[in-house]
Amino acid sequence: MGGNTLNNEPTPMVKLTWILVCFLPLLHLLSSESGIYSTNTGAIQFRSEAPLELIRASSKELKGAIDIKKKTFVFRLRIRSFEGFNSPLQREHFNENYLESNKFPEAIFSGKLIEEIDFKNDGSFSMRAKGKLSVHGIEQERIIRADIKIKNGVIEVRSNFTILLSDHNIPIPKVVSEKLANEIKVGILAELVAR
Amino acid sequence: MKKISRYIRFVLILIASLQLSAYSKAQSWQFKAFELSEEPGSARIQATLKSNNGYIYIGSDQGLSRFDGMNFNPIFLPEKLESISITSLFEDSESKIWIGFQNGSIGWLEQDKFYLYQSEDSLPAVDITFITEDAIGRIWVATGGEGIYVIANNVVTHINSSDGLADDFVYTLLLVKDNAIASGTDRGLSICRLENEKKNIKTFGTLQGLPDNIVRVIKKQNDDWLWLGFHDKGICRFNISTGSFDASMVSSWKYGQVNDVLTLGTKMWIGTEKQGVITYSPSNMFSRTFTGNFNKISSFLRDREGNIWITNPNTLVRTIVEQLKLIIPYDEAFAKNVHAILPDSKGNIWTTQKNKVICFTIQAKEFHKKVFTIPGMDKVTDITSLYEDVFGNIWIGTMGRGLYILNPTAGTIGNMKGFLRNGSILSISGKGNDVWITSLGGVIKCRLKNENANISSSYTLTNYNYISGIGSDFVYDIFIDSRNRVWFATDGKGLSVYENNKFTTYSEKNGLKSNVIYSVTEDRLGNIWFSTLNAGLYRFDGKSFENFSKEQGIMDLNVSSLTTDNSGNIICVTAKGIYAIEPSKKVLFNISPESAGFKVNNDLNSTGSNRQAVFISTSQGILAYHATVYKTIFQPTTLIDKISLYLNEIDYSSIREFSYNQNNLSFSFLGLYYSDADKVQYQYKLDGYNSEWVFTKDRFVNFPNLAPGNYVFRVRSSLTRNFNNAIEAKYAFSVAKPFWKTYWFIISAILMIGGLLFYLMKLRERSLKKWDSLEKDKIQAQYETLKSQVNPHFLFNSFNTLINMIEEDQDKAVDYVQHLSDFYRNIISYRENDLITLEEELKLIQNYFFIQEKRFGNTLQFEQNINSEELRNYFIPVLTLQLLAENAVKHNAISQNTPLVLSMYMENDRYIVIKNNINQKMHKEPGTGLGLQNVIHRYKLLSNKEVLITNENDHFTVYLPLIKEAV
Repeated sequence: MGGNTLNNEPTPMVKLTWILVCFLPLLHLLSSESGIYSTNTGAIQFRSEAPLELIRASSKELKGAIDIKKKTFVFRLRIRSFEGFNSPLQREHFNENYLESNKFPEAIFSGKLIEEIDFKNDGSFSMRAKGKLSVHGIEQERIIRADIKIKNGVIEVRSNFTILLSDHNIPIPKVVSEKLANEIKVGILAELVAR
Repeated sequence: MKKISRYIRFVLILIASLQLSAYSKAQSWQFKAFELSEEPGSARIQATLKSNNGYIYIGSDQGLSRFDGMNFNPIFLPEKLESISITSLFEDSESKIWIGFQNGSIGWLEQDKFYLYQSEDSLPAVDITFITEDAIGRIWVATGGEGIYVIANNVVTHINSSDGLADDFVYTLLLVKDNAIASGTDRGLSICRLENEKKNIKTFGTLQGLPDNIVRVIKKQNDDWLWLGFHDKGICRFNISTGSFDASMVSSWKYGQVNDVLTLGTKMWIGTEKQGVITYSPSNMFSRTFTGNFNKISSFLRDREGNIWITNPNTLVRTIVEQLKLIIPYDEAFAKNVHAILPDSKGNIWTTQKNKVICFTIQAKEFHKKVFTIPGMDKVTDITSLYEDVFGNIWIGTMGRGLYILNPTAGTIGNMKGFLRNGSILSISGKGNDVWITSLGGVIKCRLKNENANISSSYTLTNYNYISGIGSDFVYDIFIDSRNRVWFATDGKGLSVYENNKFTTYSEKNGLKSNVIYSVTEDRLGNIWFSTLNAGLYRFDGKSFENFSKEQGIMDLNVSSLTTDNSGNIICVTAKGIYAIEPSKKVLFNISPESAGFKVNNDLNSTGSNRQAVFISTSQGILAYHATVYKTIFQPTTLIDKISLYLNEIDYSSIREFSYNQNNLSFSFLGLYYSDADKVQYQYKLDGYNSEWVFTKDRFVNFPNLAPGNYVFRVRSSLTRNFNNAIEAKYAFSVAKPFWKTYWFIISAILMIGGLLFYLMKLRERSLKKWDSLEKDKIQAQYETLKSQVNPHFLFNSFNTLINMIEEDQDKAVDYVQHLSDFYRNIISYRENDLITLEEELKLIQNYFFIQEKRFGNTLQFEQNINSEELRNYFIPVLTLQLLAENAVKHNAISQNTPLVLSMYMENDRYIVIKNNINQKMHKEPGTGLGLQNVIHRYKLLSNKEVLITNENDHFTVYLPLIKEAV
């Protein structure tokens, strides 16, 4: 079969390969032009304000992407990247007992943007993102508000929201009920740039 | 009647003390919660529906149930369903209840039976958020992520964002004008039209002026204007014709996500995710409505009784907040001193407190209290009555201290004590410029002049007393009706009316059960209603009186106060509760919930009303009763819920005829009345079984062993023992007679038996005839045989032969005589038989031949060719062979030259043949011919077969049919 094709018309497979080879760089160019903005170094921090203990932790490994054409987004975070806490043991408990980060290594929030925003020009907006927030393997449909600042082609996303541990099936043992709040306050700050 | 003019004696300047009180008292009786599941939080209400027949359907994550006012009755869905989590419910124009599931399945209920919608087209795979129907009967199904599916018969059309829909996550749908469907999505509002497969979609987002892209609720205000409810920005109005928005109310919104909207006339209730119910009114914008602990309002529902229901994640809550509100709370000690309630023209509520009058001004959820202390009054003397005149001045009647008039704006007050014969005032009322005052000393009418706006001007008064014609000096209430007749409720002299300067009195003489009248009012049809001491109330249509008492459901016959509410119902205030009577149907319903726990103040003037509401003083404070204009029914709707045959439920919409043994029927019925479900009582009657209505509080009745017949099961429900206006439900059916009792069966049975008897008679007749004939023939044959045997010729011949034998051989002669005697004996012994075996017959004939041989010698020969077995097995009519042999001997010449050979043999297993040669005698022996005829006839009777006779080739042959069985 191979021998014949050399002398005859190219097969469709060969044609497709050629097209891909010619247009791949262009496609790549288009994608950056088509408006996918992303980051790998977003900042995220959370606070648990329980009566007897304040727990804080943060990470700078928040990955995010916004497709401004399709008005969709995705943010992901490796749970184990959280640092801080009041003790190394606490961090271990956080990963092993509560978030079970071996089983559920990532938290993901992906969905769509509600508001019509002009990403081309500089400005500040308030925007809602609606999507599925997956923490501890449990998905919750959420609408989360974020402040968007666009400056020199950089999209700065800033948001504060809360996550209820009970929504994500993370039980709080009675012994630590005074030390761990059900409502966890989360703040993010990410600067996304065109790819 | 003496007209007098008097000035108010002194005018005082009052310093009213101002107080501000918070409005916070819990009114838990305004809410009645029904938990879907006994385990809190185990089931989540996700969809509600009020069906056309009045039921409330609840869709939850655990299936479907129907709420009857007390219980959630599960409706069983097929087990094969992958998901029973219901997210949407809708009843279409054909009363099909459409059900949308979390997994995207769609089904419907018809006569309580579930059908799953199936189609070759693609169907949703995500949750169904909303279902509605357009003007041409297509079902529109909104989904949480796949846009809209439109179902028309078997065709499914899919509309999504690629068609121009604002977003694929659709919250709600609403049919708007021109058969368009408005849809609220995550990214705006889309107006969709679907004509001949053509999708026409117009979308509105924030760029087009929509305040908030997430449109969660769409409700109709009128043909042009829609109400939109948002995730974030509250509500706004949208004009569908012009495509413009009225977002004037958006800036005042601070209550978060809107879950549902309910319009209440000009007002609107907005159910929110976290802030309970927010009331919107064009003048007041937004205010929080007290909804107890219910902060999350998932949806609203309004039943036919005007009750509003709110759903909370696992609770269905009936609330009468709109109808009955505690607007001014106070404690029991305060309540004891409240003797009069007056709503004034400015929206304030006035009440009394010993020597003070108090004016409550309600603003938002707070009220201000302004206290006016009446000068010259001690703390023991009570204020009995309050009245506002056309100028806004407040008239204050006291017990023993006469009348005061207060100008509330100036704070001045005057006393008119001296005007009255007696300073004790019972009530003040009036209309227009006339004010009527009743005192223990008679009635005074005051005609107001323009200058009476100033309370220090003179007042013109006219006195009336019992001498004038009222009948009594003690008048509890004066009521001026729409025709300006003045009605006087007297103590002990009945009801008097002043019309055309003339008094007419109605009392016990006119059939009233009591002469003590407390209160008078008028309905919108012009009938006068009045209450009495101990005899309930009366309706007077100008001609006759109709009494309403215990039988009609009034538990307390001392109706202290009567008034007419904003919807025209008569409100009766008694110590035991507050009732309303719908005047045209004359149906009574309770408006004070039993759980309320307040005591109604039954002072005569402690109820006041204006066009908006009726205000009633209770031990907990002042209630405002506002009849809901949505109330369409005032009594339970009776429904037959279930019919069972031997306790198995049947589809009673199609089955109405039962067979004689299907006669054990049970009926479950229900009086649907959500406002007071546990008060509903029933009467049933099975026409054709019961002659009277049977009263019951059960919702079930069983009729075992019903006799055949036509029946009508009738049931009606009422809140009281009075069923005169009750709504009835019926089910007509019949139990058939057993088939053996039906006319057709009896008639045909009679005919059949008759026919059978007739046939049997005929048969018997025929067989009798046959036997007759047979008997005759047998006798004939015997006769013939005997005749031939006693034939002198035979005897002569036989004796001649015998003589010769005696001479020749005496032994032979003895033998001969032996045979002759045998021969005769055999004839005698067989003659009674019909058939004998051939063997027996042959024995007979052998005797004969022996005798004849002696005469004819060997010229008479008999040959028989039948074996002995056949001889034993075959039968022959007795003496047949004998007859034939005799015939042959008789008719033939027998000589040495012409011997007579008689032969007998079988032919074809069918015949016994007797054959002889013919030697005609020179002279024919005279014969009757009866012998042969007799043989033929007997064969016919015995075997129904023909005897064949041939006479040819010099042989005479008789074919006798073979008879194989003895009869």
